[in-house]
Amino acid sequence: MTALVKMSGIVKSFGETIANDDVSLEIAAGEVHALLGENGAGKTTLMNILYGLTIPDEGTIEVGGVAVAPRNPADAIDAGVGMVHQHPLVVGALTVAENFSLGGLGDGSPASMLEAVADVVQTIPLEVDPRARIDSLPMSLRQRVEIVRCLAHGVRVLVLDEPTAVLTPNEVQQLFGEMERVVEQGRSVIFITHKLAEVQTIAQRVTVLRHGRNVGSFAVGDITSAELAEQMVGRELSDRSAKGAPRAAGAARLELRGVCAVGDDGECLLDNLDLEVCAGEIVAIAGVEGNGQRPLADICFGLRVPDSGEVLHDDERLPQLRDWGHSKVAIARIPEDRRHEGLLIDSPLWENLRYGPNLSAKRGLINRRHEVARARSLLEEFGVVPPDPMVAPSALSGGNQQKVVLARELSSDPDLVVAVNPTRGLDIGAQRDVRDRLAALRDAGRAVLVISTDLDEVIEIGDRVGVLYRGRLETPIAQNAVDRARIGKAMAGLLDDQQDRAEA
Amino acid sequence: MTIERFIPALTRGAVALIGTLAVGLVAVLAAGLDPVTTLQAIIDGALGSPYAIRQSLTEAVPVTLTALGVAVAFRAGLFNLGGDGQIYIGALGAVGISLLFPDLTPALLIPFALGVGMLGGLIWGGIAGVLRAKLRLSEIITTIMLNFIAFWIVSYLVHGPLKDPGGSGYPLTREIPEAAQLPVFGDLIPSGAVLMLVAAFCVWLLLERTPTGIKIKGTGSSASASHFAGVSMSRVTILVMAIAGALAGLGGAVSLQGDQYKLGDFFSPGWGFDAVAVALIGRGTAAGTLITGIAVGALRSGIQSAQGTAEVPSSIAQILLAAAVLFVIVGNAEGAGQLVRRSWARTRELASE
Ligand SMILES: Nc1ncnc2c1ncn2[C@@H]1O[C@H](COP(=O)(O)OP(=O)(O)OP(=O)(O)O)[C@@H](O)[C@H]1O
Ligand SMILES: [Mg+2]
Repeated sequence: MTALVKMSGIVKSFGETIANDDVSLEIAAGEVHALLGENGAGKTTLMNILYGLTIPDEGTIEVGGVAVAPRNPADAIDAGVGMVHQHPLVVGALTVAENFSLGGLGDGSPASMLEAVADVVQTIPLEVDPRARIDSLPMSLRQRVEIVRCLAHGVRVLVLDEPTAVLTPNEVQQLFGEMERVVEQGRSVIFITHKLAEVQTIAQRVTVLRHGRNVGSFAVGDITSAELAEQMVGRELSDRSAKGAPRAAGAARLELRGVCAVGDDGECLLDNLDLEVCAGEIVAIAGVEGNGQRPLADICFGLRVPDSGEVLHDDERLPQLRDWGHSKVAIARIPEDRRHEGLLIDSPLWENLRYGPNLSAKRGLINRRHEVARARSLLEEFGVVPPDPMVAPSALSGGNQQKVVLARELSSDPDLVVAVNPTRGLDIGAQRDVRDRLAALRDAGRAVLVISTDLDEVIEIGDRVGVLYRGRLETPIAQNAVDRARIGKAMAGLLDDQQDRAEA
Repeated sequence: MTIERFIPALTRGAVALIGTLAVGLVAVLAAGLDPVTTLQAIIDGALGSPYAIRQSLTEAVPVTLTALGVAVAFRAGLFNLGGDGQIYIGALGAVGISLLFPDLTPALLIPFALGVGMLGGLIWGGIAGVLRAKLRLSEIITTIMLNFIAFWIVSYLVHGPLKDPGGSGYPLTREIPEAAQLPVFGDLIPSGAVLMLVAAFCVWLLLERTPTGIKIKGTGSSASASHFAGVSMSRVTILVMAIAGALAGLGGAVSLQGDQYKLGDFFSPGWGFDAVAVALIGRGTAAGTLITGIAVGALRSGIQSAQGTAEVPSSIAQILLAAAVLFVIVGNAEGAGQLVRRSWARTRELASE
């Protein structure tokens, strides 16, 4: 085996946290190499080091047999390493072409950009308008923009940090196709994921990190998913899920009647949507980004008023968010974008754990010691590492940031939970923990609405399951009556009657 | 807590101090002065006697009060460049009340005049807040415009209707009655200094111990997360600018009632802009701003007195202040730099809407 990338003895610590502890890693040319590990295991840090975003304390890196020490991404790209980050690094306010020009690909005009990427798009079609602003694109296309940009620089190693967390099953298949075409050219892909099935599907080899250490690299054919999970957590994982069968659902806690939402350009985002979420049930809605889940979530979050129709919470009109503190609305809200909406990324965790509509309801002075103690116990309860109330979310791994949002929202004793992609970026153990928590809330008679791009999550969590496509929602049906293949098609709009409707 | 935790802060402080002193040295040498005697004269002038200390504190009060307001605004991601205007309006309110009700007892007149001065500043700052929140007008522009308006209102009044008829022809109001004048405790501590300490404590309390403080800092660090949390950006903006204005207005009133006693064209020597530098050096915290404000006051007062004793030009103070801001930002990209970057980002967002 010729190693295309060879990282040896990498050490990196942040204060007292040792993110990478003597990690060595070899990537062969022409392979998809998966990187697995629990939240905070050090995957992103290791790849940031390879990509020059983080400078290691110790250790050496070779790419193609040449020693390199990238001090910034430009160095790494010169050495042949490209990375699509866990949280997109492209500049949202710029157009696609302008983003390419930042990396020296064209001068910002669409024509020059298309010329610069002409070779690449023969294997990976870009399929976006170079004039489109990045933040107007769905996640899957933003990702593709980044992949094409890396390849246009001629990188030999492409690092993808949790790319599938934001994709639907069809998009994942598409991405896998792209990855295969990349490795066919003799390049390599390093692929971070929390989904073991994906590892089995696409990777040839897999490396597992645990608490900052490399616990082993394996050929994918030689190891089962269960063994991989064991390697990740260092003990056997029981198969048990605490979620029992649903009991009879109670009264409607959240009711949407004939809700329509219209976009800025007059397009229809939600089309006469009816939905009922009752006490004691979990309703899960699957949908590809851009099909109305954003306005649906915003309406349930109290951030958007529907253009027509009614939203009822316990049979009364749901007030706007800013009035929740006064009217004692107890809705837990888990937003799609944890870094921009869920968290104050540079403020201490204890403030983050208070930041919400109920903050205004609290009178008088803050008892700081009490708040910090409360924060510490919440962080411990939700398994946030490190459970230090004074650090800021920017010092946490992606999965741990998500846990902070969950800790704030689920600890507020909500009577209704509205969650968008609640387990995005969580490792297997943490995912199960969240599912158990949602099930426990349900069993305690609370109502739960989950909106997710992750089909597995939808089917596993939901008691009733529905699909949102182009702003339309069929009445969610019981989870045990669900046909997985049919839902997958419905999300992508591939069902016959959807096609008829689209044509009509 | 270990000493290591403070080392970055100490190195930053050292960078700022050494850099500033180096610039000061160059300036002093360029002015053809002997550095040792100059320094001696400045220190003597600032701290050498009870009178010097009292002068230093008096000099520190208006700039520090204004800087505390600027700091609060910074934390919310807002630039309050309107300190001077707010100071003038505050002083105008105080002088108006003092001259209108000269027969009230000090116990009534002093707080009345201070309160009206504060209210004037609050309104002046609040206007910028409302314009920002409701009409999306940048507070950087509006506060500067409001400075001009305040200045010309005061200038008109002291040249005309409020001009002291028995005065020597200078554009100044009459002197306020003794009942409105602030006492000095033990011939050493001006009451303004006490107010300054109380204000710093209140700002600390607000920022660090109240839900409102969390919201102020939250809106400053992320508009999107604050929107999601249901925090009303416009309410916070108006509140913060009103607080900033009130503190500056108080600064104006205190300087009028505790130091100058008359209002004129040259009432503020640019405290409003010094305050921005002070808040930056203090990294937007109450304690940092207070300490920096007192130091700047002492420096100014020391140089003023050294002007007489060692012929030190007063512009040295301005040079040192500018150098200190520069070096603090250089030595501390995450603190002061972040305050500026965030506020600037909020302004740019406004422009791109
Ligand atoms: N900038 C930082 N400052 C302090 N600590 C950090 C910083 N970045 C990462 N860490 C710490 O390093 C450890 C490893 O983080 P890393 O982001 O590499 O984890 P990860 O394996 O990618 O996890 P996830 O699956 O949650 O994304 C974590 O404990 C994290 O808290
Ligand atoms: Mg990560």
